[in-house]
Amino acid sequence: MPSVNKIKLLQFTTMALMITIAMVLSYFERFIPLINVPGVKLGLANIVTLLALYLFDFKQVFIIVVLRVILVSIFAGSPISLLYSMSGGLVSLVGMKLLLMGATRLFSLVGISIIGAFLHNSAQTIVLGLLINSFSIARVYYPILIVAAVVTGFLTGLIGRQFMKQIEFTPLKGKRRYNF
Amino acid sequence: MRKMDGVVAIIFLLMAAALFGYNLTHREAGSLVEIAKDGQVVQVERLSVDQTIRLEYDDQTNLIEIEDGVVSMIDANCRDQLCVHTAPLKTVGRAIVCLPHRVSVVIKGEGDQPEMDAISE
Repeated sequence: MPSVNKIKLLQFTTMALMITIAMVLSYFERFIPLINVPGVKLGLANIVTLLALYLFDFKQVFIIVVLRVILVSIFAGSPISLLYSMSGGLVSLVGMKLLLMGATRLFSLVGISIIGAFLHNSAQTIVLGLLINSFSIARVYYPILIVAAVVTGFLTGLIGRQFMKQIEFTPLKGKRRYNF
Repeated sequence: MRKMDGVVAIIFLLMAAALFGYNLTHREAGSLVEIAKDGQVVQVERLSVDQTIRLEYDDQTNLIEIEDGVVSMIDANCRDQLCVHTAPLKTVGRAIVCLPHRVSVVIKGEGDQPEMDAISE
């Protein structure tokens, strides 16, 4: 059994690694061609958020998401893309956390991932509407973004579930928090 | 996988279909092209008049073309080039958005008042 300090250290380095992996994923996914609609992305960084929700407390996951969004915007974005991804990232994070706390009987990880992607894209649609001061435009994109959320949420959920199986026995997990 | 996973996915898809249907039935050929920068309308042009509009703010340029009743962004020096890849538009409510430059090109109908009093930041 590792000591408390060792677990803290392990947590810390794992968090740093997760931020890095999430950054790399959200940077490189823009090179994967999808349909030509602004805002449609695979959302691979969401896998990291899912995994982090499984391994860490909410506070730590919050830090991982916020740092990832800020760092990606610094390296490959703008203040506007920061606003955009921060809103999506945080809304989906809170939504998925609430589902994990209260609705794991209803939804598996895949369902939670789909809802997370939906919340993410919904938040971004609202921010888009506010930024360009026109919801008549935002509503044109919204159906496409919803379909995209179902597809990408499903895919990232499946990938996340495979990851979960691989990390079944890590010293990080003191107790099994959620039963998928 | 649990049963509700599929249910929620289907609900979302139905929502998308409903909204898509709504958008389809609520679209009409536009007549005005409204160009906005930072959420404020800077120029309004008729969709029936062919022309090329050049927007320049500092080192940010956007080249908008109106031709045969459709409007498109033919060039921009923004990072993501999403606006340039947006398909040409002609129906009300459709828009080309260049987020990096905060430029939007929106199609308006005949009855729409140009929003010259757009809220500034």
